[in-house]
Amino acid sequence: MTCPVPFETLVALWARELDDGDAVEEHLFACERCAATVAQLDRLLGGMLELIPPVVSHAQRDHLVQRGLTLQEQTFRPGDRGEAFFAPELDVYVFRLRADLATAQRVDLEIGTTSIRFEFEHVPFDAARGEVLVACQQHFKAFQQPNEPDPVFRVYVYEAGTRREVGSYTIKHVWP
Amino acid sequence: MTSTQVLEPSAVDERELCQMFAGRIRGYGLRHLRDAAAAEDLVQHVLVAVLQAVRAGKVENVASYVFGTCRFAVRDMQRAEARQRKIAEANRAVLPEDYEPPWPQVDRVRLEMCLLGLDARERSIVIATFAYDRDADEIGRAFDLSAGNVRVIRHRALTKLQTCVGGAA
Repeated sequence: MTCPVPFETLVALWARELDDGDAVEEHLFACERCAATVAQLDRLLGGMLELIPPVVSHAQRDHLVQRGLTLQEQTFRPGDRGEAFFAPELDVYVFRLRADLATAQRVDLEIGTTSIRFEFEHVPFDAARGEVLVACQQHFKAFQQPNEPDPVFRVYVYEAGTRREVGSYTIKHVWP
Repeated sequence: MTSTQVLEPSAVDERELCQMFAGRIRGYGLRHLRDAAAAEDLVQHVLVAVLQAVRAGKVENVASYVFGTCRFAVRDMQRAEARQRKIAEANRAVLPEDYEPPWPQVDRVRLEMCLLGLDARERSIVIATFAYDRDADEIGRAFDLSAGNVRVIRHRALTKLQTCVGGAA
């Protein structure tokens, strides 16, 4: 057992990738220094566990409902321009982005305005339903700059090594 | 106390013992149960079991005893989630007041801002690991990277995230 336990080892412990995880865990209970180090990572990744990822699988969407969160859902088709009204009681607004994903090996999502562009690689998707579920939340309001155009969501698929856009969706976000 | 000194039960009072180990138990719970509420229940359950064992004179090394109790309790909780809720309610009545040190939570919006501040590859690997629960081999295959590369990218990303949210790695 190396003391102090390297940060990489603590990350691997969190990712459940250590063969001798129990030995590391036991040390973390006995060593003040290492306990303090892992506590910082516990806070960070404990916070990550609470986050709802920006794109959710259908199973994760069902889990949000089981947790008692209030969801609203709206379906968008490629080329759609729509509006999402975030009523105060709403926890998560799920955008069901429809696209032809039947032969997709991988799906990426890009969310962009004029000033920002975020890309999410390898997001969960349902090939049979042709759907990507975007989980938008109340506090995303903080990311919206005043007087910016409506955010555009773009879905890309990878098939046989090539990437192509299969849908673009412009969704105006309205917070009361 | 030095870093890895064996802690004998007579050396600390009960509140001190709880405050010393509550965070460590919570961290263990988060790592193994992946659920904040379940980790909170684990803290109470383990502390009650440890205090009872200390009072009965059954504990020689507190840290080892706490760790062992955590292991068994987590296995039990994974088997019987509903039963555990009832146990948690009973435990709350047994523990001393102010038994837990403060657990400052990461600011959620700040964390998301920091996550969005990573490059796309780093962000996607962190989310795949901790939100979609995919291992390094699986992520590596998806991103056409070796598992070792995934771990390096993930480690660097978490170091950046930790600095961004206000702690040093």
